[in-house]
Amino acid sequence: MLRYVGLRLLSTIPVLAFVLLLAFFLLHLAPGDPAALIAGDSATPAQVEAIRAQLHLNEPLSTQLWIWLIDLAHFDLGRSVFSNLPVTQLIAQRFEPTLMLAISTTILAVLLAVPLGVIAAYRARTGIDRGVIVLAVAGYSVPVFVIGYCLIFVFAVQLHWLPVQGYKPLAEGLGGTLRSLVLPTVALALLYVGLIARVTRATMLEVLDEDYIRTARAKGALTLRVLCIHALKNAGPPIVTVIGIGFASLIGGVVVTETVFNIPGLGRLTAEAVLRRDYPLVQGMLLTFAVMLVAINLVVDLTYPLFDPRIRY
Amino acid sequence: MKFRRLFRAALLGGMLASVAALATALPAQADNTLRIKMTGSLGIIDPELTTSTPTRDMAYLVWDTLFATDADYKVQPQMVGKYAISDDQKTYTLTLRDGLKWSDGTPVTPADCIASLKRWMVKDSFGRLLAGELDHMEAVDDTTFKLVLKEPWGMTLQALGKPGAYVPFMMPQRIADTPADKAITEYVGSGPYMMKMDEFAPGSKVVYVKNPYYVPRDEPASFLAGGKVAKVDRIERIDFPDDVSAVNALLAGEIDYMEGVPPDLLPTIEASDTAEWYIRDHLGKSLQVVFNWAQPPFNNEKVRQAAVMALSMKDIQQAYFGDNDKLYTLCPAVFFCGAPYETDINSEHVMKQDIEGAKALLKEAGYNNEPVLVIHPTDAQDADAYMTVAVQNLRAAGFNVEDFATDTATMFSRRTNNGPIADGGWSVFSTGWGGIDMMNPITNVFTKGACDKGWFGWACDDQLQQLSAAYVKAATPEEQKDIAIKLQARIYDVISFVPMGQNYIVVGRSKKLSGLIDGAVSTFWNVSKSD
Repeated sequence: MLRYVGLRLLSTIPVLAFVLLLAFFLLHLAPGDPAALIAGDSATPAQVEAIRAQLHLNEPLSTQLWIWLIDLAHFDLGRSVFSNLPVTQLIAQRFEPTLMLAISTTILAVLLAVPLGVIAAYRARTGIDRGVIVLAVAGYSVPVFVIGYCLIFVFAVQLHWLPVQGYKPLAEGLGGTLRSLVLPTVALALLYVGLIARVTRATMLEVLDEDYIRTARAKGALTLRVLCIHALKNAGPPIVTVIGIGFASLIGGVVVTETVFNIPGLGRLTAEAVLRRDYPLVQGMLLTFAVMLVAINLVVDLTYPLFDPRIRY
Repeated sequence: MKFRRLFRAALLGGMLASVAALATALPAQADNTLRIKMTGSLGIIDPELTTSTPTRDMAYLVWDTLFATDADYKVQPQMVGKYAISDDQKTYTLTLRDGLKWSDGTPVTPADCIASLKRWMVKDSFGRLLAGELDHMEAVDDTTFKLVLKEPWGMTLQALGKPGAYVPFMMPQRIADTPADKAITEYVGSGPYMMKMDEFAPGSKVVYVKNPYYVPRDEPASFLAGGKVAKVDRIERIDFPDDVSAVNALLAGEIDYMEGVPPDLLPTIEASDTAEWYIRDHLGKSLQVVFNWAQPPFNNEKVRQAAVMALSMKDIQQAYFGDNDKLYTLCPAVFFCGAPYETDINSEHVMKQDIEGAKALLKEAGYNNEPVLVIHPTDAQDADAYMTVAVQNLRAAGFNVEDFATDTATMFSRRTNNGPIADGGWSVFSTGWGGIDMMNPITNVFTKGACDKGWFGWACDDQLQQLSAAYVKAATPEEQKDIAIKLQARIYDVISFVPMGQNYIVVGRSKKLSGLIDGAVSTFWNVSKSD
């Protein structure tokens, strides 16, 4: 197991290096000039040029890359060219809202989607199955911002049950955090319910045709036990994979949801950094996302033996 | 088996705890906190590093000025308690008010003020003019210092109290000694509030609390002058990437103040019992269309004049504001309508679209279908609407327009390039300077005619240069006004830019607020919030 983990981690180094180099060059080749943005709309060309020189933006790309890599080797992601705050601090500020939203969305989506997928498979080609499929397709098709605005209008503006916007940090109390997460979680979870329910249904359909399921039934096992213990456990790896991909997407930032509910998460931070050509911040974000994606994939892979003992590392 | 039970118990316990926490959470904060949504985002804090309006507006909370502009656009002493001008008009002796302290508790000294002025003079055009007139500055004692000029200059106080881009804010000397092109890293001021750096989350939230050492003036507040009394304990500036969410938050009482409400959302606020909207500043800002003098075809005066004839100010403004004509005015004045130098001289073609006339003038100018690249930022709702119409106007007159749809960041970058279009240059872009800068020929960038040393567009005209220089040296307000009128006449001859409508700053506010001060700068001293 440890050898497998070590090899997997080693294999991520070239992947991360490729992602970083590609991001660096694409970002710097894109039009836009942070110096002009920092100077502001009213600055003169001379003032813009002075800031450009201050930020070393006139240096060759290779020199800028070298400076960044040297800093990176010292675990220093640099400072935002706008706020002058360390990139690590900016990412840390936005990490909690994104992580909490990802966790709450994943939990809600799994709690709803897996039972729905199992029921749909068990009642395949019936009205229940078709109902679940329609629900899944609808959840997947309706844009998050439409659901979000509807939820805000009903539960926040009209009923005043929940806040319209914002995120309350855990440090200010769990209750506030949960209240601020309810509406964005529901809006986002509907999307992932559709995705996970469909995969669960499809996988379960395959598993339910297996001989050992027939054997279990022949032995007189209860339907619930057959479905949950014998079938669902064996259908686990593809479902966990989809959940992992979904969680990684959520961690990567859900810009639209964060925008509609004004949640200061990583998605908005990335979008703002790109629009402002805040090179150090964008590079730091991409590195963070790449590392998290690798980590989540690794964790998902490591869970496979829990569902299928034949898989060994 | 035991593990499973434990797991189930933990899961159940967690769910129950979550529900309990959710049920007991307080929906609203009891407070004397003002929550505001402003236009743009505060990324840069140093007010001498950028001309960004969010930076300037929020800087007024943290830093103070020696002099300040009042509601009548007159300069009044602010940090200065008393001042004297020598008989030869060359020495200004400024004495700081008693008890002035920085937010770290140390006293404000003349050395701090001199260092702050030196840093400001590097960046600001008005500051550079003052630096040119200055012989030296010297501290007299712990609270008094002198500005000694080479020659009498009647705009000295106006420079020190200027409210537009690059305000001469006072900072402690150790901070003000930072080179002008490098951002300061310590944010200590003598304004009514202090920024809480431990809560600073750029793009999300900025928090200000009362400066315990601030001593307000005795006079009532008047725009940026007078007594700046901090009445709310805490100000939270919350960024919203989406205006609809911000309006919803205003209606739900989650924020108290929203700057820049889009016209299509005003009816939603009008229908509310708890909020209302108003026009905070009747000068506002104008849409300025700028032509690139450095490249064909707009290096030709007649082509520029033809473009002006092609543009319809009314259509352009209606594209964003619709029929809500309370929110804008069709203004012919270079120095803004409602400001001291308002005039309609030489503005016939600016005010009246004439497509046929534009076609004829283009022909006369020898326009040979050269490409015209219009930078069209689509990420700003207003600029997108304006430029969509401007592009159609220009095409209707026969210009060969390339509609370059892009984002604001790219526009900021591309407009610095005065080369040909093929090398990343441009022909037309739009911007939106505010009245507070535009109303003064010194801070209005379109009056200079300074060629490659001037602002983007690089308008190049001897007469504009001479008139601008004459304005700086004008001895009386009457003479200044006379020159300003001549400047407008010349600007509309050579077209250093063209204004395409003046629009106002619209604010949505909670009905719980009182004491808000009108004007071009957002100020939050003097504001109270009732229960």
